[in-house]
Amino acid sequence: MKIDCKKIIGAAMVAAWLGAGCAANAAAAEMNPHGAMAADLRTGLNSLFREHVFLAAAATGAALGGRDGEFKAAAGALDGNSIDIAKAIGSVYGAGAEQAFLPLWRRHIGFVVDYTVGVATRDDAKKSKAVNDLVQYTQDFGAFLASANPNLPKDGVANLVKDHVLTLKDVIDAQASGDMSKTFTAIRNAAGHMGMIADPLAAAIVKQFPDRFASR
Amino acid sequence: MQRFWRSGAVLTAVILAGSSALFAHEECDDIPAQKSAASGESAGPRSEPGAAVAIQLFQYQPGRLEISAGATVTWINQDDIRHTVTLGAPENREGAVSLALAGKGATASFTFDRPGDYEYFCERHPSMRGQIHVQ
Repeated sequence: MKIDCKKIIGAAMVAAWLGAGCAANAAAAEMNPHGAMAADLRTGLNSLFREHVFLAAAATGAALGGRDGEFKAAAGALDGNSIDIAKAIGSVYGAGAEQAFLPLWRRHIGFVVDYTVGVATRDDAKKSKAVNDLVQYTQDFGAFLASANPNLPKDGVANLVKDHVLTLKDVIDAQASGDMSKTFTAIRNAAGHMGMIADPLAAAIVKQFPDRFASR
Repeated sequence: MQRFWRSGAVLTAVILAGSSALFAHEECDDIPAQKSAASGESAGPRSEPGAAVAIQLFQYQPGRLEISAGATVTWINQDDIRHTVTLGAPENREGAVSLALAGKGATASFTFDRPGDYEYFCERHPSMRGQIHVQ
């Protein structure tokens, strides 16, 4: 059931981006077309990005706990979320952008994995390298979105993604400490922060393509 | 546990067949001139027609280019990040030539003197791949 909901959310977002809204959306759009489509976009992005955090936390928690089967399942679901995010990007910027975005996005997950392995093995050098890689990655991610959308400044995006990295690092550190209260507080903080990426991204896309979001 | 991390994190790209002997040093006489072009200096007049490849959204556009032998290809970086044009593939880099494009607006050129199929990629973003077919 949970998976079905995710699919519905993801599909709704992609459909909104493609301009294939449902009847309810169309009705709302007649009253406030720009606002309705923009809201769909913003909601869809928030759902995908927050799901990313929850699934990442599930994967890192399982890994640190040595629950291999659970980890594999969580990692698979996390990659499914990555694919959905890339498809959403592709629905706006084309198949080429989708294909370019997916490995870029997956790359930061790989660095998070590296950090988690460093924590699990108490390898400070590995942890430090992973953090450095993640910080460098934020520049790549900022450059990608700035290239896609002139309304998104590279450094601004990079800083927001850096905060995402740090909030996720807090989750992993809390999980490693075994403090469940601290862990779930960190997960909520990390998930909440994703709105600070999703909201300006949605706004920038609407600003870039006003006709696509105002015509229904 | 680590094997699962690795398996969960690894991104595998499909790589086409390897590069050719043209990458050997003695067959790349024009490389110094092209590196000058990459740094913003003039590469000098060329008699062969040229072609351009844009680098935008972490893609080489077009991803596959067909040119005649002797033609010069110029890459233009439209992303605000450093990319490279590195001949070969990440898994097969022997003798590879790498042209750096420091940031937005940077250009680099390379002349393909011999027919063949050439692959290239970005060292910083290995998923970025391009192909040149030289007739």
